Amino acid sequence: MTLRYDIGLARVARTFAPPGLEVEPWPTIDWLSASVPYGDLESEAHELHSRHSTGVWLPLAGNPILDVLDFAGALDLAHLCGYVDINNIPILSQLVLILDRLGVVKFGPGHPVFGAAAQLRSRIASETISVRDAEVREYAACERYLVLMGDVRKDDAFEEFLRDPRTPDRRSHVAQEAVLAAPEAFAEALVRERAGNALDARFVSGGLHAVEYFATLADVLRALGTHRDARGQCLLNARWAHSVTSARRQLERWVEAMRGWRRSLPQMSDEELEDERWNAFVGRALIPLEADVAEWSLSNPLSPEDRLLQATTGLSDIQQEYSARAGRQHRQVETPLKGGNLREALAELSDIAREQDALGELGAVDAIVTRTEIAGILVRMGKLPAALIVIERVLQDARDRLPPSDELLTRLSRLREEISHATGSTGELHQAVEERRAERRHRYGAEET
Amino acid sequence: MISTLAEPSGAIVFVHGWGGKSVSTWDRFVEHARRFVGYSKYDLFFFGYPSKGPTTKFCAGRFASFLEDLLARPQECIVGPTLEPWTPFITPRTDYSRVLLCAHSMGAVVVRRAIADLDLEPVAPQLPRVRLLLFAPAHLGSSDLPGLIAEGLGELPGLKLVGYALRAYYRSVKDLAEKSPALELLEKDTRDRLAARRDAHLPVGHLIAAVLHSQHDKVVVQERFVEDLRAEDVMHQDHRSICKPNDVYLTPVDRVLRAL
Repeated sequence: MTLRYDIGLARVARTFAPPGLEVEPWPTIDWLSASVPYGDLESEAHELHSRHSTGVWLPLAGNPILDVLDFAGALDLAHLCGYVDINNIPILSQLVLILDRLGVVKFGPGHPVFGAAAQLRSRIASETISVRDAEVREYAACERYLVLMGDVRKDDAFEEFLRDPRTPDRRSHVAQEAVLAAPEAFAEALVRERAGNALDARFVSGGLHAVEYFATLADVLRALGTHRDARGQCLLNARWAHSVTSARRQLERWVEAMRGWRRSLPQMSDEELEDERWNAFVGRALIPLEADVAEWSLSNPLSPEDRLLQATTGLSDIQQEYSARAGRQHRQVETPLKGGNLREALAELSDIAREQDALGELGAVDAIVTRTEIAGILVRMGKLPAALIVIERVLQDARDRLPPSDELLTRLSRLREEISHATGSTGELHQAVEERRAERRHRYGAEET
Repeated sequence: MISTLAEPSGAIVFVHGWGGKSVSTWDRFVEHARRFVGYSKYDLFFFGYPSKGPTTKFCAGRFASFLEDLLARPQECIVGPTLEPWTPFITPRTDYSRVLLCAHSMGAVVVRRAIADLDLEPVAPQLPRVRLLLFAPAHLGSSDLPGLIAEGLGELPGLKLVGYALRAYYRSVKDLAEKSPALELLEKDTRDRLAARRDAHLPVGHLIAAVLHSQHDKVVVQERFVEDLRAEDVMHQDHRSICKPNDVYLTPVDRVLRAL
C-alpha cells in the first residue's frame, strides 16, 4: 500500500467515524454489532429503510449504521477519484462482512440511504476494481468533499435547518415567523440561537451554513465533470443534499422576508449587488443540484405530515402556501398556541366550524372545506387522533351532500387514508379515536369537534 | 496540513477572516496548489479559529501560539501531532526556512497582532523568516461594519440589515471598526517594532506586508498600513472572492508563489 492511499483512507475514516472513538481500525463488525440492539444489523437496516420511505428524518451523523453506510459510500467515491485504493485497505474484509450483514445490495444502487454503500459492495464483488490514475481535479474534488462532509456532520444547526420544514411542530413555524419579522429578531436568533425566550432557533445559523454547503457541493460536482459514476456516488452519499428542494423553498422564504425589510427602509446602494449575488448563487448551486437530485431520483419522501397536508389542500408546497382560508384560521389560533394553550386553540377551531355550520344548507360545502382545513391544522399540530375525529365527521357529511365523483370527497378520502398510514394500523387508530371520544364525553358531557 | 514533499523548504499558512472557515475561505486553493509544481516545495497549513465571539486580541493569541510552535518546534508541536500515524514515513521538519502567512480580511489583523506581540518574545529572532501576504486586509478597519458582517455571513440579500443589528453582539466586530482602539494600537505597535528593529539594525520583513485589494470591495479601508508595499489592485473581484481562485481567476495562486 502506498502512503498516499493510506493517508487517504485515514481521512475518509476520520470524517465518518464517531468522534473520540478509540476502536481502530474502524469500522469492525464487532463494534457495529455492539452498537445496535441485539446486534441485529439486518433488522436495523430494514428499520432505517422503512423510516426513510415514510419520510422520517434520518440523522446526518451519530447513528452507527448510517455512519458506516456513509463511510462506505465516501470510500467508493474516494476510490473513483483515485484518492483511495480499495483493493488494499486493511478493513476490506470487515467492511464486506458489515455490508453483507446489512444486506445493502438488495436495496439497490440508487437507494438514497443504502445505494452508495451498495455500489461499493458491488464494485468489490466485481473483478475490475482497479484504482484510477489520479487526476488532480477529481482528487482535489474528493478532498474538498471530505472537508465539506466533516463540517456538515458536525453542524447541528444545519441539520436543524434541513429538518425544520419536515416537523409538524407548530412552535417551529412560529419560530420561523418570529425570526423573519425583523432584522433585529434574525440577528438575535443568530447569536442566542433562540427566538424569544423559549423557541429553538438554531435553524437560523443552519440556514446561513446551508448556502455555503450547497455552493461547495455544487462546485465539487462540477469539478467531477463528466465522471458520471463519481458524480452519482457523490450525490448519493451527500444525503443532506437530497433535501435541496425544501431547503431552497425555505431560503426563498427568507429572501422574500429580507426584501420586505429592505422595502421599509431607504434604498441602499448595494441592494442590486446583493440581489445579483443571490441570483447567481441560485443559478450556480441550487438549480443544478435540484436537477441532479431529480435526475437521480433522490428527493426525500414527503413526511407523513406533509402528505396529510397535501391531501387536505391539494397543494404541493404546503409548508409555505396553504390556502388563504387555512392561513386565516392559523392566525386565529396563533395566540393560544403561542401561549401553549392547546385547548383554547381547539376551541377557536370549533368556533370557526360552528360559524360555517350556522350557514345551514347554503354554506354546507364551505363548512366541509373549512372542517377539512381544520383537520389539516390539527395534523400540523401533531394531533392526529383529533384530526381523525374531524375528518370522519366531515367525510360523513360530504358523502351525504356531494356526488361520489366530487373532487373534495376524493381529497377527504385520501386524507383519511393518509391518517391511517401515518398513525399505524387502523385498529390502533380507531382505538385512539374511541378513547379520545370517551375522554371528551367524560369531560364535557357531549361530543364536540 | 497538506504536504507533498519529504523535505519542504517552507510553509504557507492560510488564515481566514471574520465568519470564515479554515479551508473553505480559500475555496479551490488546495486543488490549484496540487496542480502548480511550485507549491510542492512547501507544506500548507490552514489555520482555523472562532472569529465571531472573541476579540481580535484573543484570536491573535491563539494564532501566536501556533506561529511560535511552527517557527520554533514544527515537528514536535505541529507536524508530528497532525500526521501522527505517518511520522515514521516523513522526514522530520527541523525548521522552515520561509513561512508565508496569507491572511484574508480580519485574518490580517490577527496575524499582524500576533507578530507584533511575538516580536517582544523569545521567538522574535525567528520572525524575519516570516512574510505577509494580505488579501483585502481589515487592518485599517471597515467603514461599513454591517457590510463586513454580511460578507462573513453569506449570500442572502438583506444580511447587511442583520449586520447593523449584529454590531452590538460580536466583540471582534467592534475591533474592526475604522479607528477602533484595537486597530490604533496595532498600528502604533507595528510602528514601534519597526523603529526598534531599525535602531538595532535587525531585519523588518515580517512587519511589512504585500497587499491585494479588490475593485468591488466596499467594506475595508484600502489605505496604506504603516510601511506596507504599495497595494496591488485586483479587478472584477469583491471582498470575499479576492482570495478564492477558480478556473479563470488564478491571481491568488500566482501571487502566493511570487511572495515566496
